[in-house]
Amino acid sequence: MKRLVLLAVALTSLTAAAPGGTGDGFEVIVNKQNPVASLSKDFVSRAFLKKVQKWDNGWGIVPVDQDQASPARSAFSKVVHGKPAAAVVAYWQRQIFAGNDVPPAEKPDDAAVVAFVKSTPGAVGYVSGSAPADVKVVSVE
Amino acid sequence: MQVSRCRRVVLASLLALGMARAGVAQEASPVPEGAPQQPEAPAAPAQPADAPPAPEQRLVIHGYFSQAYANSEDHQLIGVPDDGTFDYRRMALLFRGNLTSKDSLVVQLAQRRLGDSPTMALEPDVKVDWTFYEHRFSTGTSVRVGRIPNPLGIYSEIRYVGTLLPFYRAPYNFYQEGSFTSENVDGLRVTQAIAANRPWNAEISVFGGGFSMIESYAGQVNEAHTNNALGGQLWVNTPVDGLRLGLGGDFFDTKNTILSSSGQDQWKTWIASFDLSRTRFRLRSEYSEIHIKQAEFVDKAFYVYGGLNLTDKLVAHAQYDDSKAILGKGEATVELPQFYRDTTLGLSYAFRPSIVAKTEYHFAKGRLIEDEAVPLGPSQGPFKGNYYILSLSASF
Repeated sequence: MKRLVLLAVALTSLTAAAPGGTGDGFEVIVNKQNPVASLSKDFVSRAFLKKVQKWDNGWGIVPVDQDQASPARSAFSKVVHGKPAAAVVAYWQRQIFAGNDVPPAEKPDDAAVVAFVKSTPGAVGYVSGSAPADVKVVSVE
Repeated sequence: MQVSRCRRVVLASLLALGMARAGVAQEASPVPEGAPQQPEAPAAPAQPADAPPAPEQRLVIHGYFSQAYANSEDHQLIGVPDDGTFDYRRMALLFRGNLTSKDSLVVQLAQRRLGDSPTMALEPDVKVDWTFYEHRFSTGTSVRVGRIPNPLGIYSEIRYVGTLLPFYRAPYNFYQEGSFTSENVDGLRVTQAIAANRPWNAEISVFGGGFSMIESYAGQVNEAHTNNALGGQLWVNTPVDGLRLGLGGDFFDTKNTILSSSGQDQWKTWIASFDLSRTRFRLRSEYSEIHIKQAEFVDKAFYVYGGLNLTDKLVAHAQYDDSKAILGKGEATVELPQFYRDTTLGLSYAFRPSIVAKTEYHFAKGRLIEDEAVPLGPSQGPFKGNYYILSLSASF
């Protein structure tokens, strides 16, 4: 019996990491036509800061943020950017008023993000809960 | 026997479940970032990287606003009178048209009010800060043509954006305010990113063109012009988080200047910058030297700034800003220390990142006071001009 329990524990640990999402209060989603399945935190951060413009297949990356007060944005910012959302807002203020660029579009909630990502082939966004089946969840590591 | 069979069934079930989940996890195992995989869906339609932006990002409008109350307890410096003024304000509206992901048209309109400063006689109610077209190449090169922001220094392009500044204005000796400075250049700027994806990376900008510059001296106010400015700014981003170093400078000839008897002069400026910006604290310092040839005038200035987040919203700021002027040359050289010296202490409170209230006190002395027409000289000043500013800034 003990061996059975140990075996069950070993098998469970092998499969603990669910595909897609980070378990940190958000899931990163892309359009279903996007072939990527996994992304690094650095790539996602750079995509949302518009420091990388293209997917490897040549598509333009179209990041979409959530509202500044959104808990999902707060979690995303801390985990992916390694900074609080206010610091990223300050970064974008500097970019805006130096005439360099504008921040990603902001959507008010998960449903709006999903609708945007679903209709935009190069889009990448994040949602707070489980994403519906009409977008693809990618794991971020 | 029954127990043994039951055990086998449980074991088999667990094995089957584990293999199924492991198989799914293996499909989603790490792959090189952005690399294509075996598509699950039919081939996707091509979407060029430089496709026009989404409709809501074709025309974008942003703006900022800073309103202050300023009061001097001594002589008037930088427009701050001893009976106080609410006529202390900076605001701008920025319009950005994104033609494609690589082409933009930017226009910024602005207003500045500087209290009782004599420069207000030449300051329009609304002015065109910038109006330029920019193209970005895929090589990390960008070109701006039109009326472009002056890129020299940490704060140059954002020197009036109150939600980004620790105090009401950027350090005075380095950036000036209202006179002997131009925030823009009518001309061309080329910027090149170098090793953009490396821990050590750089950005270099070269610009050229002309501008106008208000001069205010000993009760006189004048507008000088230049048509042949040439300058550059190098930024080096280091592997240390938030640390960058800068070097820059420019030189130009002025016409219609009050600083020389001929009405013409030559300016050369060199700057060095240190910028360490972290989430909880910031440390910045810049040094500049300005040489004005015919006027036989040299200005050497530096500032050191420190900011510390006491809470997520409340920040304490301290800054020391000093300069000395050197008049004449050879044996006739005269040094004027404390040309403008300012020790500033302040607090800012961010209700949210786009709304910030500030209070600041300046222990200031200077030789170019505005309430008396005092020519520069070793026997004149420095004059005490302590003042405080209360301000509210917003941006969108």
